[in-house]
Parts: sequence; structure tokens; C-alpha cells
Amino acid sequence: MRLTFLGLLLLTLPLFAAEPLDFTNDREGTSVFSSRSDTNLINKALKQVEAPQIIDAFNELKSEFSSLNICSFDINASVSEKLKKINPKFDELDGVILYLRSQNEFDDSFAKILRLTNKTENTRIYSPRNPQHIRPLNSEAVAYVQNLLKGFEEKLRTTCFDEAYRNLIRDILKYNKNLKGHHLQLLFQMSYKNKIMTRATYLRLEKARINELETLPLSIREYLKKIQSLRNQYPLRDPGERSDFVTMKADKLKISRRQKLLEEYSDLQIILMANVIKKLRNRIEAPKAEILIYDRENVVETIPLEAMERFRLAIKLIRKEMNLLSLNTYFAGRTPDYIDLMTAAYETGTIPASELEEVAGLQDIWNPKKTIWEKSKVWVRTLGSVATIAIPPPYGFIPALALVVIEMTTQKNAINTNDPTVLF
Amino acid sequence: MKKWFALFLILPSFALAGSQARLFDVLVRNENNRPVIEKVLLTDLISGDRFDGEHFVVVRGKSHVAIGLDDGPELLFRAATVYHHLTIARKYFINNLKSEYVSKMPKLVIRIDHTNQFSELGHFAHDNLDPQFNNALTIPAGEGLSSRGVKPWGMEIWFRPSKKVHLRDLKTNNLASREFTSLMSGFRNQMHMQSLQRFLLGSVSALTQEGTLSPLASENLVRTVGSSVILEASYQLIDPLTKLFSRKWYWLDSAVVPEIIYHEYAHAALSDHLELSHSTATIEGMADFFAAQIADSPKLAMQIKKFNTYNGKNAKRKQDYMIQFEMTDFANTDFLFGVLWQLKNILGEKKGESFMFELRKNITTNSSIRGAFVEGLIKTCDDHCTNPFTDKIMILKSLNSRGI
Repeated sequence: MRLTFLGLLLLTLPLFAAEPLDFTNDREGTSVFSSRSDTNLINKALKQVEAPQIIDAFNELKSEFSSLNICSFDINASVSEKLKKINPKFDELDGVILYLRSQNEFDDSFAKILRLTNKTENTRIYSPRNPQHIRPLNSEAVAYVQNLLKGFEEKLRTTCFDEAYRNLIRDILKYNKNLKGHHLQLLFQMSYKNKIMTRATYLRLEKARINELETLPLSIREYLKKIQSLRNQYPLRDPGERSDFVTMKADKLKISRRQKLLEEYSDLQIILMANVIKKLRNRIEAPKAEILIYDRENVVETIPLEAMERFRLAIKLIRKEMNLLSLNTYFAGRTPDYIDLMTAAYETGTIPASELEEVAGLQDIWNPKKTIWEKSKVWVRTLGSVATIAIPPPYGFIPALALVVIEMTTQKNAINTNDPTVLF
Repeated sequence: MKKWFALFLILPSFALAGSQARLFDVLVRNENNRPVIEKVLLTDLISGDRFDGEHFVVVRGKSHVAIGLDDGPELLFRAATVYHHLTIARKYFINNLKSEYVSKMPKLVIRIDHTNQFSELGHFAHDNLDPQFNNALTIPAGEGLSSRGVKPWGMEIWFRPSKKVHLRDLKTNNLASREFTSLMSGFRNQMHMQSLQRFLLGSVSALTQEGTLSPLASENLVRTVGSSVILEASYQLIDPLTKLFSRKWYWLDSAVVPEIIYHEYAHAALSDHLELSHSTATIEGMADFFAAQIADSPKLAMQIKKFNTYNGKNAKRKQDYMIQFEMTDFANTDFLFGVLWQLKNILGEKKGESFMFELRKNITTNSSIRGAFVEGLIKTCDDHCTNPFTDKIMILKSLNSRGI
């Protein structure tokens, strides 16, 4: 009986075996890492190892990890080790990461994590120096941090270094949120000198500190979890589609729009944002919209909206819903912008790549770009009012003329208020 | 030489087919859009001595007999020009837009030098009613009035003779001039207020500060009052001076303007869905659009923006724009033409052209621009756009930018 049960268990084991992980880029077009220096790095890597060898090395390691134990440090180490076996002089892992991204083996967010990991690992650290200029921390703080560091090496056995480091820094800052990088440097040195940790661990911590690894918003594991959650809830209609819209740099940031989305928003927030665009799409495609006026239970008046009114209603509603999103408790005060919504809609497949540009263009209606002339009108008007008095005749007409021209060319804000034919 | 040789080869073949081919002087546009007279071969005349062709018969005034080839060079030139451009327009609708309606259309009567007004009952209004000049129109077919001896008639295109009219006798809205007057009026008020403010400030300074020159001192008075007097004189003289130096006479020989001929034929070609009952923004705009398409006139296209910001029809300026513009006397101006041209550019040259042709099925002559016309655009897009969602967004955005 027991043998039968064991046999059945052995037979079903393959069913429980995890499928090899798939990191394939299924959304992004031209990579955000496409500068000339990036291309040079790829070329440098391809001189050391051949392209198929890189792809094979990466494909081999996919079966080594599961979604639970995946770690960017381990991926880099594994690829590097495999390629060093082919060419012992191999040292261009950054170029290999960029090459794999260019072949859509993974996307920009994945590449960013691997690159930062690689940079952290390759940072050169010299023997610990005692920073003289830093005021020594109080003994209580040192004891608190050393206590945290005692368990750090143990945690590394089950947790990826980046996550363990982030948790460590978070715990340290809980004690004192004003601690800066140089304080951490001192605390790590003191812990090392007090033999709380090994030299290897000290060096890894110091490298992580120098590269500000704690600011990495996502680990590989978290990234995969987020993507898998989105794909499970919103399976892609066309996994082969790619968009350059989402790989364009986000405003005032050095990362792409999609990187920003994945780093700053949770999967639930992304879905909520995508739903706003889904509703916009439904409203614009609706062939008919009516306003119903009720007298208690009965409809007493039906007001059909004209096509342009429906369109402007849809635009007004999306503005309203964007504001409501920022009030939503799931967003905790964060105000997503319209591009975030578009990127979220694309991420869930609500809007296909071919429609992104046009739908994104709707923002121009409520947030039109101002020309230099329009921006300068305010100043010309203010200065002109003063100048009409200050400048004597016969030149006094110049500011007066400028004011009249501005008044004539400036569009009134409430454009529809005098028009009885338009509701919206 | 080669051209003449080719004609020598072509002519016998038309003679065998029953059609008469003959060379005429006609007015055409050259590559710079300038009017030039060229010799053109009209190939489908079925009469050897009259302007009676397979698809058009050109008559003068109320006559029922086609214009003869010996009726004088001036009349011949105008008849040939009309005939030539109507043939081009017809081919455009058949070849480019595959219009079955046009290909099966019965022979059209074309009247040139026709001054009678149109009567839905009597075909021609009485001769005593105001004669019409400097214009053209397409009339719908009528059943006639047998009790009064009026026979049924088919669709016809009428070209009025040209006549010099003094501009002051033209009934125009003169909106452009009104805008300038309003601008000047604002400037004048501002300047007078400025002078008054300066005078008051000067008075206060003179009363409170010693040594300050009184505003009534001759030096100040000349400066302040002088500038106001010069401004007021300019303001009052603008109108007389404009009239003195501007063009005073207006005339239009509609039978020799290719774009007008195309426009009128477009009315006929679109009449399977756009009834020729009266002039509205919708049918005039549609006819203008196809006239521009047939003419393929870069000048016309380039000038559209300018025409379209014509005051009173600029929907962006809500102060000036009223929906009534699309229903009354303003309806035959260019607003809708500009809208359609912009939409064509958005949808793409070829796609835009066929889109506009399909659009006629989803609108009517009485479609208001904001209502049925926009609904018609959306319905046409649903049926014919390759990507309806994004194309509709582009269309609606464009309409919204025009304030519709």
C-alpha cells in the first residue's frame, strides 16, 4: 500500500515541477539602453564571446531558478561563470546584459536590475579606512546595528543580497531615519572590526552602500511576481506586439515610461489605472449616450448627447477619474499622470501599441502645450499696463497697441457658456 | 509634331465610333495654377456642328438647342471650357471614386449665360424677376407643370454671365472689416483713457509738487491732446481711405473658372444622397472639397487655412461664431470645406478621398455641422476606417480643435 502511494507520488512529481522561467520581453520596442555607448559595450562583449554562446548560457540558467529563489546576483554569477568557461578572459558582463536585452530575452526593467547588480559587484573597494571626519555614533546605535548585522549572513542563505540589503537598511533607518551614507560606512566598518561579519560580507555591504542598492525599487523576484500577476489576470491578446511609446524616457526621469510604471506602481494600482483608460475607450466608442432625468422613480426627461458632446464628456470624465484615483486609498496620495495611465493600459493589453500615440494625444485637449508667445502674454500684459502710463506720448501707443492685440487674440476660457447649442 | 501626329491617328477612330473629336481653345490652369488658354481635343461630341455630347449638352440661356460651333468665338470658348472641365470632373468620379451613379447619369443640360432664377415649379422663373449674374448653380430635376406648358426637366447646371457690380452694391456681411474696426475701436478707447489718466496724474502732481509743469501748460497740452487728435482723425478716416484705395468693382465669369465648374458638377455627382433642394453648409462644403480634389490645386489647398479663418466662420472664436452660420446666408462659405480638407490630411490622401465620398451616404443636405454631420463622420469611420477607434479619435480631436 505504502509502495503504491509512493509510486503514485513519484508519477505525479513532474506535474508539480515548476516550468522554466520565462523572462521574454513581451511589451517593449526599442530599448531605453540604445545609446552609442551601449552599442559599444555590446560589440565589446561580442568580441569576447559569440552571440549564440550568450543566448545558450542565458537559456541554460533559466531552469536553475524558480520564481521563489531567483536572484539577480546569482543570475549574473551564473552567466559570467558559463561564459568564462568559454573564454577565461571574459569580463564584459554589462555588454552581455545589453545584448540579451537587444535580443528581447528580457525587458529594460530586468536589464536595469542586472546592470546595477553587476555594477555593484564590480565596484572596487580598498581596505577599510577609518573616516576621521565623522562624529562617532553613540554606543546604543552601534549596538542596534551590530545586532541587525549579526543575522545578516544567515539571511543571505535564503534571500537575495539586494533584498536582504534593502531590508537591512530599512531596519537601520527605523532606528534613526537621519542616518546618512557615511554613518552606514562607519557602522559597517565598526561591525567588521568587531568581527560581527566576515570581510567578504563587509565588502559586499560597502559596495552596495556605494552604489545605493537600497534605492533599487524592484528586485528580480518582485519584478517577476508583478508581471506574472498582471499576465494571470490580463492575458495578453498579442504577446508579439512591441511599443516604442512605453520605452520613451519618462518626463524628468532617466528611466523609461514602462520602467517608471513597474517601479512605482503595484500590480493592483496598474490594473486600476488601466481600467480608467478602458472606460475612456468604451465611452469614445459608444454610439449613443443619454442623460436621464428622474422624477422619483420615473424618467421624465431624456437628453441625448451629440457626438462632440459625448467626446468632450469622455475627456472630462477621464480628468475626474484621474483625480479620484489620487484620492483612492490604494494610491496613498500618489497622483498618476496621463502617460502612466496609458502605459498601464498597454501593460494590461487594454490599448494595443498601434493606438497608444493617438489615445495619448487626447491629453493635448485639456493640457495643451503653450507657445512662447502664450507664455509671454502674461508678462506683456502686466508690463504693458504699467507702460501705458509711464511712457510719454507719442510713444505711449506702443504698449496700448500690444494690450489691445493681446485682448483680441486671447481666447476666453469659458468658451461654451454663451453657446446654447452645446452641453459639454 | 508628335502631338499632331497622335491626333491624326486618334481622330479617325472617334469618327468610326460615332463621336466627333475636335480641337477647341479652352481655359486651363498651368502648373503654377495660372489660367492659360490651350488647345484641347474634345472627344465625345456627338454632333458635328453643335456642343452636344454623349454626357453633356451646352445651351445658351433658356434655349433647348445646343450652342453651335459658329456662334461666335467668345461663346464657343466658354462652352468648350465648360465642356472640357465637366468631362474631367465626370471622369474623376467614375475612375477615382467608382461612382455608379455618375456613370449611369443621364445627359446633363448645361446652360451658360443664363440669367433667370430657378423655379421649382416652372423651371425658369419669370424674366421680370431679378436677373442673376456672377454665379453658378446646379438645379434638381423637376416634374414640370403640364397645365402651364412646362415640360419635365433633368438635373442641370447653370452658369450666369459676368457683370461688373460696384462693391457698395454687393450685399456682404463685411465681417473682416468689422473685425478691424473693432480692433481699432479698442485701441482708440485705450489711447484716450491713457491720455486722460496722464492728464489726471499731471494735475495731481501739479497741485501737490512744486515746480511740476501744469498739464494745462501748452507744452503738455500739445503733447497729450495732439496725440489724441491724430488718433481720432486716423480712426475717422480709415473707412473713407479704405474705400478710396481698395478694389471697387467685382465680376465673375463662372463658366471659365475650372474650380467653379468642378464644384457644380460635384453637386450633381453627390446628388444621389445630397438632395439639391437648397444651399447648405453641408452640400456646399462637400462640393468644395471635391472641386479641390479634382482641381488638385496646390494653391487652393494652401490657401484653405487663410480662407478658413475668415472672421465670423472661425469656430475657435466663440465670441464671433454662432451655429446659425451653418444654416443661413453664411452657409456657402468655406468653413466645412476647411474641416473636410483637414480631416482628409489626417486620414491620408487616398483614404481621405474615398472616406469623404462615402460620407455622403451618412449625411443629408440639412445635416447640421455639430449634429448629423459629426454623427455621419463617425458612422462613416465605423464602416470604412481601417482602425476606427484611433481614426475616430483623430477626427474628433480635430473637430474639437476647431471648436465644433
